[in-house]
Amino acid sequence: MTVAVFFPSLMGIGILVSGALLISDWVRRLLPQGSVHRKHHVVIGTYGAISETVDAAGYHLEEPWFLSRGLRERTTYLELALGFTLAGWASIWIGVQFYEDSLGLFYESPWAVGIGYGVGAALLLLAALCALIGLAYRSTPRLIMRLVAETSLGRIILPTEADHEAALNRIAKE
Amino acid sequence: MKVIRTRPKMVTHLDGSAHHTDEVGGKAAGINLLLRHHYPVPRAFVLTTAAYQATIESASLDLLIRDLRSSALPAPDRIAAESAAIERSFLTAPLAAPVADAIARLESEMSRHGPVAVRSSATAEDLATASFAGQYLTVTGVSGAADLEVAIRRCWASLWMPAARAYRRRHHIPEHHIAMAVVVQTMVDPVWSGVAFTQDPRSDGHLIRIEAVRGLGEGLVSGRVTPLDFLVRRDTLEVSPAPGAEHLEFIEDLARLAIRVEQTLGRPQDIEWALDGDGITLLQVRPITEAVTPLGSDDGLDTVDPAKHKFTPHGVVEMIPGVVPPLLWTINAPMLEDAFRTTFADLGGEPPPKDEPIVARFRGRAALDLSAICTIAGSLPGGDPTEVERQYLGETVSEPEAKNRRGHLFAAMRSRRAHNRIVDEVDLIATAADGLARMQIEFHEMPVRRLVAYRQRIRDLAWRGYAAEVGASSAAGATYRALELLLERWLPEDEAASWAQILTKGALDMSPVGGARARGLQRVIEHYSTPAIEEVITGPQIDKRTAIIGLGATGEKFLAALDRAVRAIGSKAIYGDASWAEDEPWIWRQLQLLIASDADGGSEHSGWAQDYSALCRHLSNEGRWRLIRILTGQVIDLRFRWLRRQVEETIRFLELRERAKNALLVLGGEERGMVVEAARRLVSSRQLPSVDAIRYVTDTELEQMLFGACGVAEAEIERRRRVGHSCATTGPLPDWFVGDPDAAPLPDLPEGDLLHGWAASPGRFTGPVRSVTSLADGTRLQPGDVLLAHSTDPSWTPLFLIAGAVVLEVGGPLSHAAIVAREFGLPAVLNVRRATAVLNDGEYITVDGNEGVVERNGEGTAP
Repeated sequence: MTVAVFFPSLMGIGILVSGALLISDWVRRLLPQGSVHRKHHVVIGTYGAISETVDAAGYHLEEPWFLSRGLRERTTYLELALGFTLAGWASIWIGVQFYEDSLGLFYESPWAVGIGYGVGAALLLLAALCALIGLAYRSTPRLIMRLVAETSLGRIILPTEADHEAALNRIAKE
Repeated sequence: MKVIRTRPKMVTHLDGSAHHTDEVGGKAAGINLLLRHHYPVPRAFVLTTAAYQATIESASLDLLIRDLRSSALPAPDRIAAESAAIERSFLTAPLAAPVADAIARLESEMSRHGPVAVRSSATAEDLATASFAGQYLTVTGVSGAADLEVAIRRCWASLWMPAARAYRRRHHIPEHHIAMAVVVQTMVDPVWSGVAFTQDPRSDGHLIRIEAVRGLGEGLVSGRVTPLDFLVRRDTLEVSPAPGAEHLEFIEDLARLAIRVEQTLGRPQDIEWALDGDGITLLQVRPITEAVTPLGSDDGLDTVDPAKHKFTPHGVVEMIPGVVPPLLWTINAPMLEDAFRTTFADLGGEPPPKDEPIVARFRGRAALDLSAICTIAGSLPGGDPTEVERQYLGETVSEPEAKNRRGHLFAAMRSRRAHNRIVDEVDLIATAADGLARMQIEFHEMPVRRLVAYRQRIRDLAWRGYAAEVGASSAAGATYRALELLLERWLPEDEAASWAQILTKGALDMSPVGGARARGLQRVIEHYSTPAIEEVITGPQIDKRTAIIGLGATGEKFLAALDRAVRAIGSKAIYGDASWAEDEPWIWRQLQLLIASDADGGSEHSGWAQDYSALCRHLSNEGRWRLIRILTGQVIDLRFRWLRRQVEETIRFLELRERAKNALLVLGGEERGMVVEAARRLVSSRQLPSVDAIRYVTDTELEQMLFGACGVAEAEIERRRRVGHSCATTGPLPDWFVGDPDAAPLPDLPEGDLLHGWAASPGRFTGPVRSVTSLADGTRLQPGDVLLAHSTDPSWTPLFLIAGAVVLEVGGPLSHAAIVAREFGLPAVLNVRRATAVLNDGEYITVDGNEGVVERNGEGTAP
């Protein structure tokens, strides 16, 4: 009896752990840039350190272009626009449903419809922004490009060795 | 009555006949005295002080000189400008006809014998109370009438440079009647040159001190080259080279000659000499003017009253190796101290109070407070003080204490966070250091405040670099030990230790000539070299730079790229110490090796994957292993994943440790550049006697001097220098000691033919032993010799290319020596106590890196 329960359960645990590890391997293969944010911080810190150091010696280092974010794929913005639109409408619809459901907890509660509309509007605004970026892409208005450079709308770019070399050459004596 | 004025003699030949100092100056008078007594001195003529006086009068320079005599000395920032103005005045002054004729005569007399050395010879020079060493100009390699005239004018100008004026004022030497003669001497093309002090003040007069450099001695005078030092007993002429100095056959003859010169001139002398194909030549002599100062037991930086703590040099000797001069100690020790404290605080330990330093100094050498580190380890969750002793000393010397088992989970989380921080910090510092080195910031024209500010910024980065290095080292130690323990679950202890070594041998991305250091040079060869340049590099030419410049634009581009790459390599072993860029022979040797390795197709580095697969095969072949895997339902082998992760983690931290070390050395090269520049300025403002003397001032003194404070007295600098030499002769610190290192008992000499140590790199090798005390001493190492030393540091990597095996008295499996030996496939046994005392040079031994045993095969005979 003990053997019949103990060994299968031990094997079960092994199989479960193995499965979990295989899944985590698969996720890591799909999203290989897991530590990209940390690396980006390191790059920013590096150029900050270099810039401060050469400043002290009377030199000026131009801020490298890769310290800001860049455009993602065009299709990514269009897919995001579609996703945000659906989520926005869903939010508004759910808010209205809660408001009108006479048996529900939020019947005729202005909070329910207010939050629904608020979240929906924000998501639709994001959808519009993504659609605009996706359609205009490289001709996106400068104001929106600044949003891309500073927020997650943009993709983090890690410099290559050549980028690094080029950035270090942009130094001038004050 | 008619007064007849005789025309003064403007050119005179030095032949030993009587000449007055007022006519030929102090230096010429000294040379003349040597000639009178038939010492070997190069042929020399003198342009007398009459020529100088005539020029002053005819060009109205007396107004300028009167101003200089009465005005205050310029501020350090103004020295360069004032010096340039004085030199300009002398260079453009019109020459009276007799002076021009005299110079033309000189040129015609000397031009037949090749290039000449033009030496200042002031009337106030080589006095009994003031040597004026290095105060006035000497120009070597002068040829042609125009160059000779310029050199003479510059010698005249050097009489009034701020440095010389400052020196005269300090010695209260009146300036009203001083004048400058100029010695024009045939050049010697020396194989060796240097200086000899007929009485080393430290020795109470019974020793002669000789300093020697290869080629011309200018590098020695300017402090760019560290000389080989020899002490010779005056009675027996027994030569004792300082550690690192090779034996030179002519030293005994030189010492004999020096004694004769002293007897002839009647007082101790400082002799400048050169050795060429014809033998030893004396270039100039001056009396030793410095009073003998008491040596003192240390330079004031050694740790006093070290309480009852246990100290060890292990763990710090690779970061700050050897006898550390005051400047390097005061730069590095505070950073290292802070790094240890930061690392322990990050791990949750409680460092000792600030007045109890973790990094101490005994006999000029660095040591760690092992008691403090054990206490901190004991306070960490899971920490084991005994394990710390085992890691540092290879044995436990204290009573075992119970492990602290509280708070394991929090400790693991904290350590994970600390590890992430180390990874990011090393990445940041290494990239920033490489970037800064590539930018090639020039220091020559930088104002003092900018120089100090830039130095401070570099120091800030180094501060972080040290913390990252100590953090990475401690993480590497912990993960390596975890790997060993993991392997011990499945393998016997010896086999586990051996596999841990094998799996981590790829921890450094080392190429055949020294890893990161070689990569920059490799790029230069790949992108800028041509067959003609490679021919020069591998050819017999001595002056390779001139030969490469002769190849035209491609040659110049190659040299520019080479200089950039070499500057980016940085200091040799300690942050701020001499850089590889200053070691010209090393640069060409590395390039030759790179070209040769390319011709051989280079070496292929297979990484650790192959070894890992071999281990996996070895383990999974066991029936028990497979049974457990089936019974526990492991679809994928969880133990291999665990092992693989541990190996990756260990290799990652070992790599990080090396990256951090490299980054520190690169930053150290920048610091060194600034220190040398600061030293040059202080020499020109007469606050330092020579560039090399900067090593013997502290960091605070250096900064204060840059902002105009008085320099450190020459006698004090000399005293510190002698203390350093004295420390270097006393040998390394014991493995561990309480209080006074000299009171610690030495480990017993091992008996029998077997010496035991740590197996640091697998393999067996038999060959003759070569005991090496310093990198310079490594020139004695022949291919196939066994490298025997007390310890090594990263600057020794080139020696690992030559050696057949390595035996060290200190070091563990994670030391630089162990990692490089594994990378190069050299059998290595470390931590062989008193090996240098037992094994004789030339004796054949077998190094068994698998078992950690050294077997003696007999004196001078191969087995």
